[in-house]
Amino acid sequence: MVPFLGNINLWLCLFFCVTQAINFKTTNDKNILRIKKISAYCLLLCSLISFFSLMYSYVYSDFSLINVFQNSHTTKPLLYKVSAVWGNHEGSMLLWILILSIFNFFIFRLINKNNLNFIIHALKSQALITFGFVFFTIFTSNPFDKMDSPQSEGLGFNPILQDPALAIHPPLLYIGYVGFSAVFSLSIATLKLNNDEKILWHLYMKPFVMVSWTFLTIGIMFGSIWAYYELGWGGWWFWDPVENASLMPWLIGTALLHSLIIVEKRKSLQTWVLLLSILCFLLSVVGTFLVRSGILTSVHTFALDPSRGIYILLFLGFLGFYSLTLFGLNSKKYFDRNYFAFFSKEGSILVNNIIMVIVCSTIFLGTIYPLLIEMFTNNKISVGEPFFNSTTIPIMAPAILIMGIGPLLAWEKESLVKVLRKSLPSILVTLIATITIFLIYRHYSILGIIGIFLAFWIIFNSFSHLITIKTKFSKGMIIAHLGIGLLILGITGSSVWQEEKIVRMNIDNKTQIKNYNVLFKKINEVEEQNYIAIKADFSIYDKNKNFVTKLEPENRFYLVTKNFTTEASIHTNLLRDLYIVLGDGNPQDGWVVRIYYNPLVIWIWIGAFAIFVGGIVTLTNNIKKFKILHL
Amino acid sequence: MLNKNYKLIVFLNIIVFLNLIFFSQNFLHSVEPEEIMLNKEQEVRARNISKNIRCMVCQNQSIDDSNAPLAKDLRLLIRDKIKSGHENKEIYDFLVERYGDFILLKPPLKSSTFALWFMPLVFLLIGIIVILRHNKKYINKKNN
Repeated sequence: MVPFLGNINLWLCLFFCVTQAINFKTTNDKNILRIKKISAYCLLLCSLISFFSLMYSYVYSDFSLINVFQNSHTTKPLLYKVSAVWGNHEGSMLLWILILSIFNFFIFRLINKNNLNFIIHALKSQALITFGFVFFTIFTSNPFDKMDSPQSEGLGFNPILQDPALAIHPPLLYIGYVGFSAVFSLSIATLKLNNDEKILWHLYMKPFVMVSWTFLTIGIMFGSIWAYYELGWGGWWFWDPVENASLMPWLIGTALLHSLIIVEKRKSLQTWVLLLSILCFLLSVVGTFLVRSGILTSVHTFALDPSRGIYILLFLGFLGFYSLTLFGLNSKKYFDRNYFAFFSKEGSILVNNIIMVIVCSTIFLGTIYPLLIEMFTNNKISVGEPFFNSTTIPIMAPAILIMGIGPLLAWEKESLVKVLRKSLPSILVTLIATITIFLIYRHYSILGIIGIFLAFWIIFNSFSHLITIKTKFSKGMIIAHLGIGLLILGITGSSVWQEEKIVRMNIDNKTQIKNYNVLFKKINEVEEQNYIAIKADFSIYDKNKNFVTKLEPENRFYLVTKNFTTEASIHTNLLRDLYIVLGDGNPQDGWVVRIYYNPLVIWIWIGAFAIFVGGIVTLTNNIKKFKILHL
Repeated sequence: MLNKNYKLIVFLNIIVFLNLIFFSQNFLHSVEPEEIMLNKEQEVRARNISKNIRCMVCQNQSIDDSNAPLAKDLRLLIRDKIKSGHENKEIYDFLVERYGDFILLKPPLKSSTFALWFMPLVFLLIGIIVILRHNKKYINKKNN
């Protein structure tokens, strides 16, 4: 009954997308408004009902649905029954649709008699996008498909996905991806405006950009945290195509939110911003295509079941063709001649924008290049971490350098001497701090020096912005920039100075890593609701033989799916993580134990969280500003 | 205490073993203690090479990260080659000859990968030109 309700509501979503998108032959604004209102409200309602019907089916383990049967199990904890809804392709599409209609609803709420035409154009575009995804879900990946014969027990679901960080990772990430659809729609609406209509479109766009970008940031962070402790090899970013798919819209989003400042303050770069906002959502859809079509594993597996991939590709082609043609035809009227000097606030933002686009293009190239090679030649190549590190890091470094002084610069033109004088204190402090660090630790590496220098550069500049009262800086900007500084600090520390020890240990054996002594005390069996495990018990002492902590890595065996997982055990403080993974072994020969000393890892998470907070602060300011100017 | 757990541990080990053979998708960092060479310099070399070599049966993992049997074989092979005095380049060449370019995580520079390696530079150049042109237009506008 409940799945039936969900399915019906999914179809109703399709219907309300149509009513929202088409033009009715009436000249009465009131009637148009009424239809749009009913459509937007009903779309939201139907997608909510549809989504929660599936959730209900998961919570009550309704194995008459193929989707629930394949991805759930009665013994699974409630939290993971709920998160299982978006832990698979079909269910996650439902979440995607729900978020689309929530953003659609927010766009509708902005409507008033002055912007009627603008918002209606945006609603049409949003309805079109939503229609595309609802259609895709119903016909290629319907989560409400029934089993031939209902089962009493499900197949469970992948235990490495049973994790709190991974439970909230998709919703956060989707707010990011899908939020850019609203930006896309507003951009389309802007391009469709008549010449005589004056709408402050950038004010409408900015809160949506901020929401999407902020949530994309925190979503990516949760994915990384999960990879860090769950995958068990001490890393947190692998340049996996799935990660690249989320990083590309993030980079373009970063460019977008910075150049929106120029549009707002200087009425410059308007066409550029419109183009970025189109590209940003197209890249989100490209990401969806790459991840959902299975094309990444191999062009050949893609060929086995191409219906999903081809649908998304066609939809992407349609969206891209439509939006870019519209841009080509109508963007001229937003072309301006408000140029600015290279040494100026706008100049620094333009450089930031261009570098973000270059990095994004490089990542895009690296991600699809193996596919192209495989399609057009008989060869296969791999493009992995070494490629991405050696191309993106050198391009990124100048952007970070400029980021430190960008906010100090004046609009339009700034003299080089003034720039130097303004930034001299932070240059000196940064240099001194970097040199001091290296004199104390005596651990030289070029990447390390560059990384630490850039991190301090951003951190000290952010603090100096904070205490400068003369010029008023946006608090959100300072917090987010500080976050970037801390992030770089963490990235540098953990990737350049990571230490690793791989040993075979038996009970009561000792080993050393850095200044720590690690004692293997015992090994136990553990029985939990849905897995059994062996759990090792390590005691860590510092060099003065003071007890530091107990670490208990586990090897789990999930009985339902017959999966094996390793649970790393981590002790974190502000300077380093101690990270232990238990490998295989037995009581005679001992166990393989992998111990990592990961410096400064926590600053990656603190930094990313600071960026999130900065985004939220800026968002609330944007909304305030919008309300003042809008009402 | 240990005896009580012994059965479970043996059972788990059998499963680990089977799992390794049939699924080889276990997420463990995979260099094993017995593989590590006594000569530290050589070991560092071996690790650096391993990080650039793809595990052929995994998705986006280097043999340094993978515990698939094939990855282990390759790690041992690399170490043997280092011990018998081969240069890094000779080892890479040997692996490419045996498995093709697919095995290198950092694709080699050749005609088919020319675009991959040089497009980022082209992007960079375009970027610089855009910035310079914008600057020039500003100066022209000021002078008029």
